[in-house]
Amino acid sequence: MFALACTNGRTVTVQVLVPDLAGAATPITGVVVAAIPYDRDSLIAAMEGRVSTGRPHTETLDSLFQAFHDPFLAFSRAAWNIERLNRTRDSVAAAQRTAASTPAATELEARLARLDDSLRRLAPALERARAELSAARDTLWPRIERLRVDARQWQLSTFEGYDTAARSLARSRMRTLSADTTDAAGWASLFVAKGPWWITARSPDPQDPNYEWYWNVRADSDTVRLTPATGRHLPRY
Amino acid sequence: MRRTRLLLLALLLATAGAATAQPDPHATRSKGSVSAPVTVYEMSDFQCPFCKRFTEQYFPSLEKEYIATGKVRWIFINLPLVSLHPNAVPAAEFAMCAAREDKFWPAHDLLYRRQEVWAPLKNPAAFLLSLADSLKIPRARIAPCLEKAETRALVRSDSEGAVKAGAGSTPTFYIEGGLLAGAYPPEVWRPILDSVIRVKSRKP
Repeated sequence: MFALACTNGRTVTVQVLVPDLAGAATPITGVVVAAIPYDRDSLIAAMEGRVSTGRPHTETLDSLFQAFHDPFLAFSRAAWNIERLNRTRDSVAAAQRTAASTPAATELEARLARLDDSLRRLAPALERARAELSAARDTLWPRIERLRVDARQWQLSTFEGYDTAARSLARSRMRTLSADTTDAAGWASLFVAKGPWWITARSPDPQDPNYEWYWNVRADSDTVRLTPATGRHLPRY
Repeated sequence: MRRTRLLLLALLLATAGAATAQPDPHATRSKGSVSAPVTVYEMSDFQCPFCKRFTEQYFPSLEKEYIATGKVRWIFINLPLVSLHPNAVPAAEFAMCAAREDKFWPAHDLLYRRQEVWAPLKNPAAFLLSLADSLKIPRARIAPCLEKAETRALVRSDSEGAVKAGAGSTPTFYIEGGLLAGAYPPEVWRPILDSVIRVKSRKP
């Protein structure tokens, strides 16, 4: 039996952490995190169960995504490394200007030269990666987008009525949904009434634009971490 | 402890006895005869869906059976659960501004009827002001009351009194010495009210 009264609830703090291009867990800013009073996955499964056909072209899309993954990651990592080196170079150059005509200036100048050398050596690799990514994009992307049209059509018809069903579930439990957006440290804060809640969110995957991290986690404690361990890595059909 | 709380609640809420010479502070937000044998204080939150359910589904029967027949006087006390319902205070302030225009109950009904519209708004001020038009309250009269938050202290005082008295959820009802917490249907209310009315109507 559901409660018959509104009572003050609790605050659930949520942090979103996903692997960055180097694979290190990184807080993600700007992710919309919602607390919902029902199990979203069950609702999705129930709606998928009503249709006789599965999502179209998944195997083909999976293989196209796979083919795009390597050139995308190679370019992104190369660009990221160069960006990091450039940032370091800027700060060393600033320090060198400040330390002009001091003993430290010589050392900083040498460091600057080493950084410039590294940047020069990395530039051709970045250009190669850029060319490979462009080629992959030109070849794969039109096919991906064509197949996505069918996949999205299937999604629209399969999940037609999802919003109504979700609203009805929330209303039957007499709860108001709560949502927040993660801050610079990846944290969001949600106030929920008493009773069972699920935390749901999706975050882009920095390593692959065709994938995302998805979570639908029971909020059993007041702090919930949305990480690869608690979420699922899903293709964006 | 519970008895102390209930006595405190009686003092906090029942400030206006029927026979006192002072003006009744609850007159604008009460229903029923001041000489009714039983007084019920409803501590509610306009953004609470359970309060909405009680008001729209259950209260009409109670009003017909007990208030219109002179057995019960019903008084509304604001208990906005601010941490749960961010727009509950503006709604309560709106209702109390409407009360100054003798439109508390129409405002009360309208707030619950349109709860799903204003409850999720980031800033409900404009929408609440538009409700004044439906209530035929001139904007020139209600706007200053809302803008200057002239009823905020009253809402806060209501809320503090209710919380001190032990009401931690909405709706909660104080019925002649007892607290009933929850949006219960008339079947639950009837035996409670009938027995209290019986006791209170006995001649000494």
